[in-house]
Amino acid sequence: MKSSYLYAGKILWVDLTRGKFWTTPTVSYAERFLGGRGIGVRIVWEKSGLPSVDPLGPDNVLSFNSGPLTGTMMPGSGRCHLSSKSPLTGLLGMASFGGSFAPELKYAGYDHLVITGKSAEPVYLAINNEEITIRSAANLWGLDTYETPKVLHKEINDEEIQWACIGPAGEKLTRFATIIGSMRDSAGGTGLGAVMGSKKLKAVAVRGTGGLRIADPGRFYEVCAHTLDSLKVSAPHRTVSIKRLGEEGCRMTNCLSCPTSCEEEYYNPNIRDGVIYYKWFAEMANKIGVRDMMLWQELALHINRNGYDAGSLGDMVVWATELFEQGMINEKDVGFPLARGNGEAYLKLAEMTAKREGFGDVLAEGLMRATRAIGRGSERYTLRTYAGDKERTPKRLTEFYGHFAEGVAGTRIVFPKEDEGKAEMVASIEDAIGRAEIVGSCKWHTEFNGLPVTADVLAEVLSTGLGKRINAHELSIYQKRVRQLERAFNCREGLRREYETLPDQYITDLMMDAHFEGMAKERSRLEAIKDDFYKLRGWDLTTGVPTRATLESLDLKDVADELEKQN
Amino acid sequence: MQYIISIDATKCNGCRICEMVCSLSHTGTCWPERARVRVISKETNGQMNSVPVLCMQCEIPACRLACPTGATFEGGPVGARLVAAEKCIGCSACVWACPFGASELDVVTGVAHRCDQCEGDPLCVKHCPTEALKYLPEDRLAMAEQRRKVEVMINFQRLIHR
Repeated sequence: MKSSYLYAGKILWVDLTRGKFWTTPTVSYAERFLGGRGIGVRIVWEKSGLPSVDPLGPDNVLSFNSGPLTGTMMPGSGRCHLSSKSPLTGLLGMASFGGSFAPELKYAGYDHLVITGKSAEPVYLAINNEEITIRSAANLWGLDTYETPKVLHKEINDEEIQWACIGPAGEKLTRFATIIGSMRDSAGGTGLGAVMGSKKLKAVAVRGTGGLRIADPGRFYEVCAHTLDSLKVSAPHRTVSIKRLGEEGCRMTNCLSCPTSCEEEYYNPNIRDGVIYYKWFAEMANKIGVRDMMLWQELALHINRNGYDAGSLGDMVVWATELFEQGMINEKDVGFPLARGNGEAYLKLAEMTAKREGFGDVLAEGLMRATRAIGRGSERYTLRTYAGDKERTPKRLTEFYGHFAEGVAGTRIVFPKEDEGKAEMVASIEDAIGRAEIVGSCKWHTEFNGLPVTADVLAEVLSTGLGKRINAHELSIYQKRVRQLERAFNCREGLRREYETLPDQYITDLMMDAHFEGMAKERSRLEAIKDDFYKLRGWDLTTGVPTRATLESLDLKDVADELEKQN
Repeated sequence: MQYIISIDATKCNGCRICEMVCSLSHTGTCWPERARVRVISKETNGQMNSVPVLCMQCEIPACRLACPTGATFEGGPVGARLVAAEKCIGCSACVWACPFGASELDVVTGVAHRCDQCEGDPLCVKHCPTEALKYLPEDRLAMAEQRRKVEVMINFQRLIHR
């Protein structure tokens, strides 16, 4: 039996350089950072925070995080949160995927799995409760994300394992590579697949047969069942209008304990074995304008098999097409002509990116580095902010709160029509997502998405599970502490106020669109919103760095000291 | 009247809420390995298919016939195929015998356990979000299945006569 309620109790550290592993108690971290994203960020802050640490070097750590509620009956408790230093932005890298991977890790006895060092040869990690082996991945290296689990199941000789792996894109250190989990959901943002690839870690396979203790099972069941019922009636994802797309089969899939089937799997036998999740690829298709459904599916499948981020790739090819149209690059550079909506060319470009061949090698470095490599003012044609490649499509912008210009790991400052209250709105969205990810619940179930898992609900479930009273205010304190730590991490990496701005296209070209009428067309208005936001967060107005007073009020004196030392 | 929990594998989306409520109500923990219902997932063509596995309340229970100590009996408020823990020797005979894989040894006690239908109000059925699990009287089961399959046939004929 484990020592404490809800937590598995241990953090598993694996050093791939020396092939060693050890465990430490979770509780030393949990006191201040609770769990999940909180502890994950703290581990990255401690281990790979210094600006000298190369995101793709052996010193960077990659942490698989689960919160206290992960693996319980709490709906949406199946997500695995990842934290590391991002090879795409050089700042804090965070992403998450759904499924049963993180719960299985907890059933095996580990709240967090932290990968450090770098293996000389390709390896994979097999965890079976207490038994941990680092095995040669010679048979797996080079396989795509559909073949890898097949071989994993065979080699480990267990159908019940949960896995997370990278595809060829991660192996080739594509800076927007993803990590894909056993429900085929990927941790898309900030290029963490490349971190895994740089460590020569192809996959992690987990099997756990343990369980999680609950302080008050009766009451815990009641509040979880209530949440479950309220989600069932309000979850908006269940209506799928494109269900009968073609003649292929469609299935809805879920994370552990979740009634909200937010992923639709389609299988199209006319293309290849594999599944396309339409949610994100629809966004990509919108950007690149491919109307041929079969080509689009083929492209989506290619992206899934190779393991990189559909949103980033969409932006890359749009950018490349625009350069092509402007004559800044030509057929000699790319090898073939590019035109908006030309799916065949895009598919070829995607294949080149996965293999890092020719022009694909430029794209695989991500937008920021690609614009530098091309030069000639090509950054003029990106919609990129410093926080990541992925942007929302203009249409999404007005429907979905507006646009973020700043954030940890790709969350963005809201930029809707009215200036008043924008800062509060961004902060409340960040807080809602943060709270859910710290306790190990699902960010999409929170109030920012119109669903009923509020701070009060999370606090209630936590209290009954842990057997000690935590109210919504206390939960918010944990979240605020973690948010400041995230900001401190990025500021230690050199983030300052002046980087937090929007690309020129937003201010000039896009704002001509009717959707954006009345929005800030002047940078001065953006600066005013930033002032509001910084005041709200307790950050220095000129630099954007968290002030010592803010940090100390949240019991982060050590972080304030460290920041002062580094700057 | 004997009730059974019917399984519609085409509806299961693999969320495993049934495992969670089952382990929580029977053991007070969130421990899928100790749940009386298990969801088995299998990937085909990259598509995940999930099927819940639990006691089918057989008329002639293979578990009872195989049990060397007479630990398996039909009883409780709903006449479920239960296990008398004090008689069970943990030999796994019922595990081998069950045609559905619904008998299991508890990882903690080492004694066989099986679905007891929560004494007439099965929580897995109550919380199943897709109605893949249904609690039906035995005599209504066949009719329900026939109706379901007729619906499939009607849809199919609509498709081909379109």
